[in-house]
Amino acid sequence: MAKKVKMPQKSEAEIPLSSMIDVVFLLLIYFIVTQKPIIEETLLGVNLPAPGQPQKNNSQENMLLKVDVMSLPVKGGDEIYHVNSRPWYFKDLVEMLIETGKNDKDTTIIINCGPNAKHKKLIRLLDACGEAGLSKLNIVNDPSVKFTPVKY
Amino acid sequence: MGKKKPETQEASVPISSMIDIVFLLIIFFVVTASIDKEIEDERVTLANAPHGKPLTKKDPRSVTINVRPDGTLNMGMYTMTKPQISEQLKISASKFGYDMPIIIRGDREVQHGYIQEVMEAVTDTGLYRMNFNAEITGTKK
Repeated sequence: MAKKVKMPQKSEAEIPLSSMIDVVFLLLIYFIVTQKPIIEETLLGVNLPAPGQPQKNNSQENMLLKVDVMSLPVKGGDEIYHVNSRPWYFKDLVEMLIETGKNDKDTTIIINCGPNAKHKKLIRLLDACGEAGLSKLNIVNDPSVKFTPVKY
Repeated sequence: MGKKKPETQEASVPISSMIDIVFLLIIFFVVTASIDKEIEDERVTLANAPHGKPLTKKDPRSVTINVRPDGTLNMGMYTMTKPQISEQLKISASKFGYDMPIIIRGDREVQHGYIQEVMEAVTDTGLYRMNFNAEITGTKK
């Protein structure tokens, strides 16, 4: 009598999921931690002389906005800017710029920014000009003020 | 004769659907992680310009120069001096033209004197399209 050969039982092939899940979770945690909130950004353009373009000296016809270097926050944190050597609170300056923009959008603004002024002050002014619809903005440097770098 | 006990079923958590969700989340994070981040210096906190127009499209030729709070100039992940920046800008301008836009990402607290250095480097090269990068936050009127 022929004896039946017992076949070995086939075991089901399994992928080791547990270690993969660990790795996947680690990746997920990494991406969540390194994710940054999306910040909306803008670009504020200024005019620089194009090569070969003659520089017109028409500052007499234009409004001159001078960013005061020594200005300190006063009146509830409002800053002072100088327009044609006259001090203006920022709030009033914005109103004046809006009025100017309504009258003539082509008004050229010359911004005389001192080297010791903080950059945010210039951005604030450029933003106000943009709000007023004024786009002819020129930045000039004040050679009379000495740059004294603040040490960090 | 003893009573037959009912077979107890093993409680299992449905892992497969959870893995699907986790993979989808990973794909989301990988896709949203911006490639441009390398040109943006993390040490620079931009000033606020609540009335600015949101930046939708950037000129691919644009060059970004970061100015850190201590005045360090950074371009394409490398810390550079003013002459080095001028040199790099000259090379870029000869490739992409003098109408190539320059973006200055100045820290809100940095002194304008440092920004002035960058502006001088830009004008010395003959480039004339310059923009300041700012953050749109705050409430609009």
